[in-house]
Amino acid sequence: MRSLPINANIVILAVLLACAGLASPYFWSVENIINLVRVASLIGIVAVGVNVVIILGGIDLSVGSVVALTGTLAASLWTLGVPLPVVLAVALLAAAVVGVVNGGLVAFLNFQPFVATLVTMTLFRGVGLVYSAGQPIYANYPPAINFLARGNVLGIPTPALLFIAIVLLTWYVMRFRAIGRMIYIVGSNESAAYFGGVSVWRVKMFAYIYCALLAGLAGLILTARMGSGEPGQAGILLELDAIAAVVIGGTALQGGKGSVWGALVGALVIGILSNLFNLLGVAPEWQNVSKGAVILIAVIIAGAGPMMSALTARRSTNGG
Amino acid sequence: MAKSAGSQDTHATDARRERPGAFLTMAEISKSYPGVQALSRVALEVRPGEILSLVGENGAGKSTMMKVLAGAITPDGGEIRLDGRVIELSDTAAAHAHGISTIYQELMLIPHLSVLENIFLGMLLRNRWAALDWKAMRSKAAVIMAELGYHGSLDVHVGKLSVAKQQLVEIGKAMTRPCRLLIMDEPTAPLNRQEVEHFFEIVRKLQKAGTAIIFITHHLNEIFEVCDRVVVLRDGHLVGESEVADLTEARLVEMMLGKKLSLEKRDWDTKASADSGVVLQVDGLTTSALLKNVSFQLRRGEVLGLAGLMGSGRTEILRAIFGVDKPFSGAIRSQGRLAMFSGPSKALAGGIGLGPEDRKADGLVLSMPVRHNVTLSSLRRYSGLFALRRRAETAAVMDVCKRLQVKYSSTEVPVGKLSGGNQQKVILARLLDAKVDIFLLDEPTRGIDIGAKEAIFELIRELAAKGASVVIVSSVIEELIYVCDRIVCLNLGRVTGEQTREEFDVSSIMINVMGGQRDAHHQAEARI
Repeated sequence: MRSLPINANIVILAVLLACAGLASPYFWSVENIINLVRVASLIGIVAVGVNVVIILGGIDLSVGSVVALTGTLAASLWTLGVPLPVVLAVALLAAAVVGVVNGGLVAFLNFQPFVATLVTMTLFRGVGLVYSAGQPIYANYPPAINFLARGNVLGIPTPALLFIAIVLLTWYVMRFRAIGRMIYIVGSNESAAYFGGVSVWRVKMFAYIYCALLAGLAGLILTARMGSGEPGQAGILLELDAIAAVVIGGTALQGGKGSVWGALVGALVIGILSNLFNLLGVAPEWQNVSKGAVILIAVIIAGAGPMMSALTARRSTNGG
Repeated sequence: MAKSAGSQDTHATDARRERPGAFLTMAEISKSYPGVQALSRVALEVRPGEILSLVGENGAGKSTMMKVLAGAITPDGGEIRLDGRVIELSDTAAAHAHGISTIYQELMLIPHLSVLENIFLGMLLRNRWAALDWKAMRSKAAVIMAELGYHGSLDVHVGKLSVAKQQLVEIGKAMTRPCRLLIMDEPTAPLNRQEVEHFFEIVRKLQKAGTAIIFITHHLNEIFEVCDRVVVLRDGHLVGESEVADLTEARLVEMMLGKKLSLEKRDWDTKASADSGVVLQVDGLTTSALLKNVSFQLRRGEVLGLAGLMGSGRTEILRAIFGVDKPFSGAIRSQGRLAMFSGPSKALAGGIGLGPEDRKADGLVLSMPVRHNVTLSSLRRYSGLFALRRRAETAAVMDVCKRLQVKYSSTEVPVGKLSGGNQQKVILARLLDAKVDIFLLDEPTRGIDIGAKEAIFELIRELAAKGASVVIVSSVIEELIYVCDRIVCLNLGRVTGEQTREEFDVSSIMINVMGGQRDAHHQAEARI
């Protein structure tokens, strides 16, 4: 819970970086690294939120739709001439609403998190499409928004800075705030949390809203990068990339365990993979095949320890 | 199990030794699990057409005995003879083949299959083309179920039937095979009075047809109403056997309890007296499921025991006070004010804490450190402006753990690594740290060895001496007698007796808890 995941996933990251450098001489060029970091940051911001929900013992499939919805809203409101602060506030509020619905379905109506967020994933993707009549909305954003996606501070791209800030914020919340402790406790044993007087519903609401807000922020970065709101295309399958990043990072899907550093590493691994495929000109259909294979290998290596102990434990109980 | 190479001679001598009529004999049956001798050289005889009751306290070995006969477990030693021949009950199929059927408390039915399908599950009839012969099965099932007094449809899903009807299906399932011995574990527990009566009719019918029945129950009146003979187990030993006709309730309870008071009687320094203030008043508490008009008081500095068996409503009372279950009617007052809490967080804020029955599932987060578990209910106190005040938290945890003498290597060790007794102390530490003054402890000594038990009891007395009030739920009456100032007896969701320390008498408490004759009238009401 508190140690950096020095073990398997860092090794995977290092091996991947080394191989990438060998495979393409262009990989370590400044432009490419900046490009890579932009992609990885977007996945990473979403993955950090999903990581929190998974530590809680839940899952969030709706993040991709939140990305599309906030981007569409922002683009549309901006083209309608709404002032910038209002645009940002409404977009993030919309994200928070999805979080409230997710949390409410799970905490009060006892939906399985998978089902609840499957519902909101479909529903809010649809809401964005209905709102924009299915068409992308092109927006001529002001410099302030463009800065979100394309700007840099001292040569470090803004998305990367945001990502680092969010990793640090999440680390702080999960490690030093009471709510973070409660998320781990509910994820480990919800019943014990309840009998111990924890307001389980509040903890769940917090986690789902936090996750949705981060997805909303990612949505703003993406719409800024593209200069448009894409209700149908933005964030497609992003939820699965985010979950893959979390899993590669070593967070257990049954909840109660994991750290934000794992999500950081996982997002970098996913980012490097897609970057490398583009550099090497791997055909899109083969990209998915290789990505799946790499995730499989990463999970096997990351899970090698626990898996082995589970196997030996089973063997010894069988023997006894 | 012993080798089945008995010669003709030993058969003959055994046959002479057997009492006339016994078709099944068990001899020298032993079974041990790591740390527990569940059965130790137990012998049993079963005669055709008799109703035999197997009684004993929790952990006496009744279930193990039943599982041996069901072929679910293999004993370490001893032999079972059927009609004088040694048999091996290596699995449930072997037991079935010998005409022994077992109905567990948890019915083994598949809710989404029909009555008919459930009855023939595991022994489907086939016609000469090897296809399923539903026609034959249907007509056979119709005869069996009519015999059992079930007149509903055979095609309805079992999950939609009442528990009583499901039980009939379970019996019907046993009747599809030639059944010489039917074993049932607490079959009457989920039934109401009328259903129990119907159930007894059926049992007597089976008896007349020559089927022997072994029947586990905790209810004295049922033993005296329907059984022919009683066999008493205690700590894995057979301690008594008698015809019901020669038996009194008091004698039966005496056999069950034995003289095994392993805890020395002690005189605690008691603060509570009749004029100490009432801190908790429960009036006419009724829940739709179980509790019927339960009332009692808890005084400041008092240790109150709720004695009851499983299904007596003991846990439900604590859950209702703690705000987990909504009472149907009745009132709970704490310090004179109405205290109907909407959930555990409110109850804890109101100064009432619960140590749940299932320590591992509901009490502790086993994978997390001692520190996190102790401050689980009081974390808000350690929340600083920017961060949890970890140093203050650790100091408080070490302080309270020292006070309770928790043995742990560090506050950061996962609580799952501690012994059962120390885990229970961590729960007490949490309640102390949450500053509750009413402790509700559900089976606080379950699965804890005797030394640790005494330590827990001493802590409980110490809490009481400092002005806390404690309610302890337990099915082990000796322990309640050891630690409590007063004991309230529960049976089937009703209060059936109350004794103060000077009046404590283990047998009469046991009779009250088991719904003995004295309260037969009461109990008949409770069933309806």
